[in-house]
Amino acid sequence: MTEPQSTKLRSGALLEIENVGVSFGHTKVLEGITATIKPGTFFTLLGASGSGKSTLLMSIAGFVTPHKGTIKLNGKVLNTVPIHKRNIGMVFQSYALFPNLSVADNIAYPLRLRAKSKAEIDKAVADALAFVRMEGFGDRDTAALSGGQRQRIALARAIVFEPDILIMDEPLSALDKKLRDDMQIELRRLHDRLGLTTIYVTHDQREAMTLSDEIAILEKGRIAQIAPPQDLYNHPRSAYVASFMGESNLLRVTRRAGGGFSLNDTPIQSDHHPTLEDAWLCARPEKLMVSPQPGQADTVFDARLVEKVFQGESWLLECLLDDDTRITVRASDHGGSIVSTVAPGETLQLGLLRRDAYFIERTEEVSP
Amino acid sequence: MRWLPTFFLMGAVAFLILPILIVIPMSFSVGSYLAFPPTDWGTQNFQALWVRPEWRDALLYSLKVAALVTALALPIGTAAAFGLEYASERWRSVLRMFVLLPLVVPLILLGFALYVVYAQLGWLNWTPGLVLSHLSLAIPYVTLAVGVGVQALDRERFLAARLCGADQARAFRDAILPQLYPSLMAGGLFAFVASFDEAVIALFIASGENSTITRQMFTSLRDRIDPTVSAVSTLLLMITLSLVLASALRDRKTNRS
Repeated sequence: MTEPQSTKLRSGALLEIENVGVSFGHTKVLEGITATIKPGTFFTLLGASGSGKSTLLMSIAGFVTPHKGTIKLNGKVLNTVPIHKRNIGMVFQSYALFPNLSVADNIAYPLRLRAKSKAEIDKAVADALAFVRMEGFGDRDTAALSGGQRQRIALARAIVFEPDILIMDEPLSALDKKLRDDMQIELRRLHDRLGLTTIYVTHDQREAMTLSDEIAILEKGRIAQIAPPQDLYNHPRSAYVASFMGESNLLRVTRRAGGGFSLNDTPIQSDHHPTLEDAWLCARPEKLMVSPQPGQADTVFDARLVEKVFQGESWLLECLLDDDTRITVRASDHGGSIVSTVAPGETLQLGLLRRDAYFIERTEEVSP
Repeated sequence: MRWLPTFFLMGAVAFLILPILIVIPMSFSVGSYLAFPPTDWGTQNFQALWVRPEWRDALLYSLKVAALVTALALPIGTAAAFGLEYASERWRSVLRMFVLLPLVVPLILLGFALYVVYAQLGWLNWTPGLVLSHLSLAIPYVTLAVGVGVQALDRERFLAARLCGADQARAFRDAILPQLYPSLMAGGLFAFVASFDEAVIALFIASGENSTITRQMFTSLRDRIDPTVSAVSTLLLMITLSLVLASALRDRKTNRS
């Protein structure tokens, strides 16, 4: 006898995507997509428009049929399961609420389709409303709600029938920035309370990092990298990932005879020792130190300040290296920093820690 | 000079509407001939409409045919609207031409052609035959009206309903149909009026017991100028106006929400 499934187990389903490919006519939209989404994970598909992230989500939902590969939910192949039997909750960008129904009837809709009793429905709807902090809104018209409120109701409708997974397609992109920031934190909290495996699509890297346990970056229909946010940010596998996740300087370095790399004859001290022939040094603008104290930085090199812009919480410095490579530095104006006094034309010293010096393969593409 | 466009618009509306409104005072005249301006006033023309069987039967028959035409044109025209929306770019314009063809073919030609065919088939003065002929006029109106609604559909609602657990038919009913109600109302109105107003085809293929009200008006005007015609005209005007007004008010309401 196996143990009875606990509710926690049930809500955290395992989703396996194996070598999935999707074509529209002769255009390959997705190719060789493989990912394992562990139970209870908040998993984000991040990519530019046209990267195929929405198509992958639609393949999971069943609105798009992959021409190859399998999608498995808790070990069961989903490909041939009709959409209405997949037991997937989805939140849409346009909310997709039914305006002819009240808020409560919208949330009750999936339960009515499952022929639940009135008492069960009433209780589940009340619980779902409370869960998204919208108690007392049941009798309202959806037209009378704000964007953020509609999004909550859409979420309540997507989780009320205890789906195996929850998928969301850019659910916050129609909201204004302040509300979007608040909703991000709240979505993350709701996810932690539910423990539901969640797949989220966005083109906003900050949103992806705020919400996710793991992020898959899609580039032209392929997965560029899958990793937790910190790994993805600190250890991007390609120039594309590095430029997509925040700002980065990609500096051409040469391989040294004794191992490691040097930047314009300055050896780069690093914990990272890849076996690359042609490499870029990936240096995040905020990790570069302006005129570090002796011993503070592991690698120090010269740069000439070209331009300096005040951006509130930090200064943005545009500098040139000896070989006229541009390098961007983001520095905060804390006590003792020379950032506020240094003037364009002056030469600065830039410092980098060993752990912040990361190398990626140099590709044919021009540095983005 | 900002009032100038308004002035022209009002002028155009008056030019179009006033001649139609003239039937209203005429319908309240008393006498055995049509007269304008009326010398005596009364409601005898309206009474005649109900008392004299040829008028009453024709009116009821027209209503019956128009109702049948509307009921059939709505699903067919809606299906055609979806068909056009999902047709490939290459075929869409050709298919749309075919759907709209009955509206551009001269009615007299259509009526004559139907007369020849129906005479062969023995369908003359047969209700299904008339309904069929009116359908060809009513379906294009439904397709046009519903087509506008189909283009503006929020399809994500359909997807949402599907993932909530609704099969295709149920999702269509719950998520798509409510969005189409306004354009279905408009299409239904057009279909009803297209059939109810039609006189030319009816002249060819609907006579005797199966005479429509418009045909009855035409023959009674030709044989002798029966003042009942003005009462019928007023009635038709009121029916059409109230339907259009109801639809316009509904649109205003949905646009505001």
